[in-house]
Amino acid sequence: MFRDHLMNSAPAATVAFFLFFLSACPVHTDWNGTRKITDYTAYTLNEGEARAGVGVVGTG
Amino acid sequence: MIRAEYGIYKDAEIGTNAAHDAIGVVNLYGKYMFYSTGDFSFSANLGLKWFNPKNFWILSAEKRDELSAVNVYMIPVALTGSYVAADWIGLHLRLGYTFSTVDGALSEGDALAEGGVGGHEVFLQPALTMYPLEGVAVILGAQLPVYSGVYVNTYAETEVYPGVVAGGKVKEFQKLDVKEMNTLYLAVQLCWGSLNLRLTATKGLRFFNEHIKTVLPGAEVFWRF
Repeated sequence: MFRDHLMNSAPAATVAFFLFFLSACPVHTDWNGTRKITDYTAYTLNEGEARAGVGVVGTG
Repeated sequence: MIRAEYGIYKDAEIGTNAAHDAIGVVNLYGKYMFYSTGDFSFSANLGLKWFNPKNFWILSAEKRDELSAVNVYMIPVALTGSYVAADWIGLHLRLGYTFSTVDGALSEGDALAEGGVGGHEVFLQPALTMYPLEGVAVILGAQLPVYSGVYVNTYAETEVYPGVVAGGKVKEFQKLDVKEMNTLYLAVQLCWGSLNLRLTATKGLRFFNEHIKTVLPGAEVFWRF
């Protein structure tokens, strides 16, 4: 019955439920603390923090 | 790519790709996060790329002299929004615009004059960041050009009198077909303290108006300190 409900729900509602369900799962990480990924995102490095490195083949 | 970035102020950073600087393509960008509630954050990005072929030392000396009166500028601007859907997942969307132009005299027969350069491009960069384990991040994203147009030099002819045809070069704006120019990437980032390793698979890497259809592996090592 629950499966039927999910299958018949609008895709957006299903995705929302999925995100809500997974958001309750404990994840041991500090990525969203002071070490957020700064490229691709709106976040910036902290004041006085530096990032330096080398790479090959990026995404443009 | 040789990345160098620094947080100059609270919520503001500047950076450059030193590998491009080293070959004479001077580039600098800045980013400022102007709004953040914790879950939602927005930043403004502004960059500048400039090169004069006389500094482009990988060209021959003769070519550098020939093109030394030319300056090429690219100015990318963007707005980026991030949403922390949960502590392990973030959704990000960047809307960007890049203006490029040439300043200087181009002589007949130059590659730049023949091919044309300068234009406008609007693009979207959605990204999904996931943090499944401590010190592990997965990044799934794309670069999607929405609109692109360039100025090209074309030859036009007009019959001014019966039997008399006049012709000349004209600068013409052409919209490019960018439907097939999407770039997709999947990256896994591993973090050990300040050391980070990012492994990337990129499909459809774009190089100017060329499109590499095969999946390219990539790697980056960087430090945050």
